[in-house]
Amino acid sequence: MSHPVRDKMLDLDNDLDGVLLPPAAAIRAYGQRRARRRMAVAGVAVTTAIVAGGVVGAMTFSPPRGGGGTTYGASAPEASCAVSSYLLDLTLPAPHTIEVSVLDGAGGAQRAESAADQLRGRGFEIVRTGVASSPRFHITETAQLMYGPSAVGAAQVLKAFVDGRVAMLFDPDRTDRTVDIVIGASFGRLRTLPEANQALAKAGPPTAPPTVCASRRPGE
Amino acid sequence: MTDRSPADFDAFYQATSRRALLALYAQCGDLGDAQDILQEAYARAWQNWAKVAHYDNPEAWVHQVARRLASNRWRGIRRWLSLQPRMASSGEPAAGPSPDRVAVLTALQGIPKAQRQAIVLHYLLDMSLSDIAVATSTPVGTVKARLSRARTALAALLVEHDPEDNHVASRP
Repeated sequence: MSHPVRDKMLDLDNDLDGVLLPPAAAIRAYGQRRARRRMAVAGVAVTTAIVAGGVVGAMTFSPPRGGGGTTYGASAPEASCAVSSYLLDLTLPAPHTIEVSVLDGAGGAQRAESAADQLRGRGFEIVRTGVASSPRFHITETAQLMYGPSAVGAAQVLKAFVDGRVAMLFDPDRTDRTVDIVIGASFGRLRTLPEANQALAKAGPPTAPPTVCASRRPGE
Repeated sequence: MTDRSPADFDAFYQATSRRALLALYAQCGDLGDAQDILQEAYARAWQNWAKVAHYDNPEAWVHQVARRLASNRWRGIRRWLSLQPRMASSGEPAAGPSPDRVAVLTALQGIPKAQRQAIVLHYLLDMSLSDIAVATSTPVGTVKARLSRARTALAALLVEHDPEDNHVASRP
């Protein structure tokens, strides 16, 4: 037992399990809107200064329209802002129908290879192994799963096989059926089939991920 | 627009955001608030990505920005106001935190901010004493003192909240 206070603080992590972070693309879009808004403010300031200086005709500058809301996702809360705007596949498929791409998130591709071998042994179809796109960023969880709407059930099956903390990263913009698994430093062995079944039963049927407002319509 | 890669940023965001969220959650004690600050901080990282991406530790930059956002209470009030419509419309996911975690959150909120910050950085972000000293521009000795006080205070608070200790069966 390490330090009880530390353990209790780390336990807070369990509260984050149901939390769905907005996809990175949404964060980037918000950052861009923010940048434009700042430019607009700066532009207005410059214009004001010029006008104050007595130069007439400096009004050609028209500030670009920044995005409306100050907070991503809070700008237009509406009733339609729900999961139902995606086509979600919530069935629990058999492992051999699940396509998995195994990526290493803790430095060194051989870890991904050994994880891929274990997954193959459980029947998963491995479509790719490699290193997560940027080896500078190490993950702290045992594994991270990244998946789109058509692989929600598949991701839950895969999660049941991982022994340890798993971060579930749902990306509403993904269209493929593959689940990406990023292997963390604490990844040891996979669960056996009975263990995984037990975990699956404990988790219950897959539920639609809580999600951020979506502009996409189903089937697009 | 400068050349900067979204893929690089996305990988960074995916790898680090959960840890950052945990630290923010422990620091402000409110999940909605933490999520909000997190989005703001990463949006700023993307805004300055051309520069931030080349830092030795972009993650530390995000944490620093997030800490400043969190400690700016005026901004906090505006955030709170903008949060209200969302809180009303979307049912917060799942059941609330377990009583045990509520106890931890309450205990954390019960200690002074500087101590809370020190213990969050040390335990949840695994930062060394010297790293914390640099990040918060505080002498190492002060950080050490804050940490040990926070540990003592939290241990005391958490024991008080532990029901096990209060149910010692008395013999007839």
